[in-house]
Amino acid sequence: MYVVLVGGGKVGYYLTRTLQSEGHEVLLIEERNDRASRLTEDLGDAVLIGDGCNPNTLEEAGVSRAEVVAAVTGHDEDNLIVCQVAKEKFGVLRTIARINNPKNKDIFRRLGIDSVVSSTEIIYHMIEQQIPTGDIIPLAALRRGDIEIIEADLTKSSPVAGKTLADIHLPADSIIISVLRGDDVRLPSGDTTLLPGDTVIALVKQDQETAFRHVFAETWD
Amino acid sequence: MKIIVVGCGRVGSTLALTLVSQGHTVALIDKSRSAFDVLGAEFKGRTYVGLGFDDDLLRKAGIETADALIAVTGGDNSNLMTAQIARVKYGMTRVISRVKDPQRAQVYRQMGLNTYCGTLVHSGILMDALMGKPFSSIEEYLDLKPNETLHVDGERPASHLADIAPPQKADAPDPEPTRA
Repeated sequence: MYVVLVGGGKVGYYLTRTLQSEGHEVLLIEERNDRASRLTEDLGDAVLIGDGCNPNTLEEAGVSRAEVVAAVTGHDEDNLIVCQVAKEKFGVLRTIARINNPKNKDIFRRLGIDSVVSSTEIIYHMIEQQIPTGDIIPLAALRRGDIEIIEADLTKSSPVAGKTLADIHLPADSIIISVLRGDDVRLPSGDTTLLPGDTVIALVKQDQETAFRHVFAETWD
Repeated sequence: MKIIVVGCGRVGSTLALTLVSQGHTVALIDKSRSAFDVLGAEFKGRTYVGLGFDDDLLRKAGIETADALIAVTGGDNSNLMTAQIARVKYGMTRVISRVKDPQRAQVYRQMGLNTYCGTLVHSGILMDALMGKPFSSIEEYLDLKPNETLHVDGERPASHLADIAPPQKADAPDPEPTRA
């Protein structure tokens, strides 16, 4: 597979090494001369000096035959433009952008970037999975992190304790997969009554997580 | 109109002062606080320090109710990202971004973004001035391929400004090749 990487920082460097060791053909584009020449000492022909946001550089890199273009500079705006130019001008099918500000994820997706990677967000989610926030714990993130499986422990003061599932207004894009009561695992129906001490396992779209918390957990804020 | 101007360099500050003097409401964004010094103490617009493509800052500057946005920082990529946020996320129609690199400007122009490429316009105008030709429209200049020129008589288009000899005026100064 031919992969073009833009941004010769640590991420770009180790990504090049890793992909090469797996037998892929990689071209790493770095703009800064000093950095590029250091990279060339180590990576040889796999380094191209140039501005990866510039269509000429991408053309020189033969980007139209690349299966993947990954923009991993430290600047979100540069990574966006690399991916868009690769896609719009050169028809690259798969573009990956690294972002630093997790808030840029949504707009990058809307602007056509296929995969958006935020190390801030990944680490944040890892931390959050270790540290319960309130009574709701994310168990796993599915489909690039858009959908989460979460666990909610119901206390006596939970607003849904004593109600049947049919009585509860769930946020859109969420579904209860099971209710754990003691050692018993129930696949719930509308008649299932929730009791304090129950653990509810649900599938929730990430942007609905807060709304979900408000339905199930006592307000702690 | 309520207008957001991103970038308070020479163009951004002049634009902001002109707009305010014509009665428009202006919110000006720049990453450096000292950039606003040129506006003078009398400036009636609002100023915000930060990145123009920071969605939170754009909202603070009032993008949700703004009529127009113009991105004129020195960074092409920043301007393009800011403009696309305004267009795609906030559905603004009156959005202009300055892009110095002609090729990048044309890629985004073809994608439907209103990009203004000073490099193309200025070199086109200078070219026509040099050749003693009437000026074209801004649109025509923006559509120029970077290695083409408008109004070149004769067989072949000149490839660079520097390749073109000035019309037979012996005392005309040599054209300086401009670099984008």
